[in-house]
Amino acid sequence: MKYAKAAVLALASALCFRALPARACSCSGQGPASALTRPDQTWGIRASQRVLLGYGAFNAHAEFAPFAPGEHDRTVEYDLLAAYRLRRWELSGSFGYGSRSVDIAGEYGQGAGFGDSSLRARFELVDEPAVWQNGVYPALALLASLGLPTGNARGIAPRGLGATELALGVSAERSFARLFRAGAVAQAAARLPDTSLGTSRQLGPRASAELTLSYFAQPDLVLSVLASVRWEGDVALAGHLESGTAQRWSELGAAISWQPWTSPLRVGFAERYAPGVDALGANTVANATGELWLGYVR
Amino acid sequence: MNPALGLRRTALLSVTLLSLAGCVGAPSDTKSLNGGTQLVQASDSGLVSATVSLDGPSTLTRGPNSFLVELDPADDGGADVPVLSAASATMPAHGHSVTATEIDAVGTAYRIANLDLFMSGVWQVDLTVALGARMDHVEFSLDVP
Repeated sequence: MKYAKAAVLALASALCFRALPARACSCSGQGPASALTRPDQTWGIRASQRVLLGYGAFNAHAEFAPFAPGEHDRTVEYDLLAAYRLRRWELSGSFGYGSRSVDIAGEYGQGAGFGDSSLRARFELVDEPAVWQNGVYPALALLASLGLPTGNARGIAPRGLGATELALGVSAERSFARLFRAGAVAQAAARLPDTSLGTSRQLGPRASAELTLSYFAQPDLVLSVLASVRWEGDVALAGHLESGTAQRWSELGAAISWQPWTSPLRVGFAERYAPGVDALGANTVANATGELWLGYVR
Repeated sequence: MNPALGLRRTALLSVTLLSLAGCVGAPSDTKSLNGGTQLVQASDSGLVSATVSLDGPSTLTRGPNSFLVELDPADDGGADVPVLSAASATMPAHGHSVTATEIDAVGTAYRIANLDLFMSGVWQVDLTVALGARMDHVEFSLDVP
C-alpha cells in the first residue's frame, strides 16, 4: 500500500511537471540577445566554433550572383565568452581567434589572428508574468555593448570591423501555449570614425532585428527557428559619403540546445543561412553558418 | 497569451523586418563604365582633370579591368605635364583594397592594366597624379555589377 501511494504520487508529479509551462529563461534562445546565465546562477563561460561558408555575393543593387567554380570565402572562428551575473545584470565579454580564406576573381587572401572583441551589459527590466498571474506582457531586457576593433580589418580576407561600435538594444521574450517561447530583439549601433583603410572612414550606423521561436521538446532540450535582418548605412571615406555602400543581410536559421537545469553543462548547435535571393542582401557575401558551442554555468 | 494574438504580432514583426530589409538605396553618384562612356573627374585640389574609359571589355565586370586615363592640366598648370604615378581601389565597407601593378604610358594617356575589382559592389578608385613637384588625387566611385 505504501508503494502504491508512492507510485501514484510520482505519477501525479510527473503529469503535473509535464503540464506546467517549460521553465524558460532568457538563456533559452540562441540569438544575440540571450543571456548565458539564469537568474539563479552567478557566472558562466561559453566556447564556440563558428564556420562561415560564403557561396555568393550581393552587389550594390541587391542582385545576387553565386561564386564561380573555384571561388570561395571560408572563415573558421573560435570564440570564448565569459559572463558574470549580478542580480538582474549580466556582464559579459568575448574575444575570438580564427582564420579566413578568400579566393574571388583571381584575388587570393588568407589571414589568421584575433577577431573583434566585445563587452556587453544586459539588464532584465521586466519578467514575464508567472503562471498564476494575469497579464500578457513579455519579459523585457535592455542591452548595451561595446565592440572593440581587435581584428585585422583590411585586405582580401579581413576578419574585423575596423571601428569601435557602440550598440543599444531591447529584447522581448514571452512563453505561450505551454511549450513555446517567442523572442524579438532589436539593436541599433553607431560606429566611431577609424583609419583602418589608411584614410579617415566613418562606417554607417547599424540596425538589426531578430525573431526567434523556441519549442521546448523536453524541459532541457530546446529547438528554435529564427529570422533576422541587419542593415548598415552608407560609408563615408575621407569625408565623402559613398553612395551605394550600404549593406544588408537577411538570414534564416535553426538551433538545438541542451541545457539541463540540474547540470552546469550546456551544448548547442545553430545553423544560419542567408538565402541567395535578389533583394534579400546588398553589398554582402551570402553565407551558410554553422555554430557549435559548449557552455558551463554555475 | 492568446496564440492568435501572438501569431498576429509575429506577422506584424515579420512585415516590419522585411520592410527594413528593403531600406538600402541604389548607388546614385557612382559610375557604371562601359565601352561607350567616359568618366570625367577633377582632382581634389583642382590641378588636373582626368578622363577615364574602359580599355577592353565593353562593360565594367567583376574581376580584372583595364582603364585608359587621360590627364589634362588645369589652366594654371604651366608647362608641367601631369603624370599618373599610382592607382588603387578600395571597398570602404569591406576593407578590401587593391593596387595597380601595371601602369603604362600610351601616347598622351595612361593605361592601368588588370586592376582586379574582385567583388561586386561600389569601389572607390584613387589615382595619384603628379604635376611638376605637386601631387594630387583623382577620386571616383565605380559600381561593379
